[in-house]
Amino acid sequence: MSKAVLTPKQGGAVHEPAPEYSHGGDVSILGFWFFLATDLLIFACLFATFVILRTHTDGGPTGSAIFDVNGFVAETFILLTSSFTCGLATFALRKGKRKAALSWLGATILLGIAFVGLEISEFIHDAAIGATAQRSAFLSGFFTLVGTHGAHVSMGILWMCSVFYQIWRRGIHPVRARKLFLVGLYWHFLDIVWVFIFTVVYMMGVV
Amino acid sequence: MSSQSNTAHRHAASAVHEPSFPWKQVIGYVLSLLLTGATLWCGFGHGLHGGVLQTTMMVLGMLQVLVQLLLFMHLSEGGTTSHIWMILLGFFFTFVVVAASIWIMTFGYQVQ
Repeated sequence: MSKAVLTPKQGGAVHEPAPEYSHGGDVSILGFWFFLATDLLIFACLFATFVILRTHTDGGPTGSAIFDVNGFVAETFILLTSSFTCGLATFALRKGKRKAALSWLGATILLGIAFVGLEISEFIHDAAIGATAQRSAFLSGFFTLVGTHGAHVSMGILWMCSVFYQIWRRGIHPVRARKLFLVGLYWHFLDIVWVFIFTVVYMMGVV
Repeated sequence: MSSQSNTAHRHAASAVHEPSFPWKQVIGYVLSLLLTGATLWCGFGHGLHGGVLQTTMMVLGMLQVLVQLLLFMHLSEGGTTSHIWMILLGFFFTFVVVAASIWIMTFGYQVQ
């Protein structure tokens, strides 16, 4: 009976924690946590720079003058929701539901595009009123920190599109399950970074 | 096509440990919305000011991190505990870089 369900290639899969760990995935996933730890260090340096330079406005616009509350609150809720849909994609993947996983992954991609779109429009608006990265040390720190996060999100969207294509064309497989799990880890990590951008940059800038 | 659904069926059979409803994800989403709402309320509710407000918002942010790590990133499961040590080391260095930079720069050597 059990042989009818499990092929020899997947023998013992019942005892495995999840499909992404069932194909030599543990080492790869550990390596990805290592990457996330080093990426955290990049953001740590940028946060330290920003916090030190945040009062150095050189007579230019301050945070409370350029930050649009509705805009950054919308960005925050979009990114939190995309983290949720990405978690649902991983959940559907573990249930072996290919269509559901693709739908949630697609929703995550669309929310990510909406987030980047809002951020780009915010940057264009800032530049239009003269708040460019060259204006003051505060703005240099702001655009470097928030822009690096935005570049990470854009990269994540491209990565998700490639994983979406692979699972759409070839179905769920332990190696592709791992790819989806890793891009999910990357996406949740970006949400963690954004929580601190939301708190340290935007909220502390306007209140 | 039939091989794909067959693969999906086998994975569904091997994924019996997952609950039928994504409770973790839903709870995580609700918690993250509540924490963000709490941060906004603290900031614009005019109840807190200055250092108390900043500390409260940082604590709420750290709770958000726990929600993401435990409910979305499945940090507590996985094959080994080395994932946890890896990311804790990352957070430790992050804290040292940020806190030590701010501490050093408070000695008055910065150009205003």
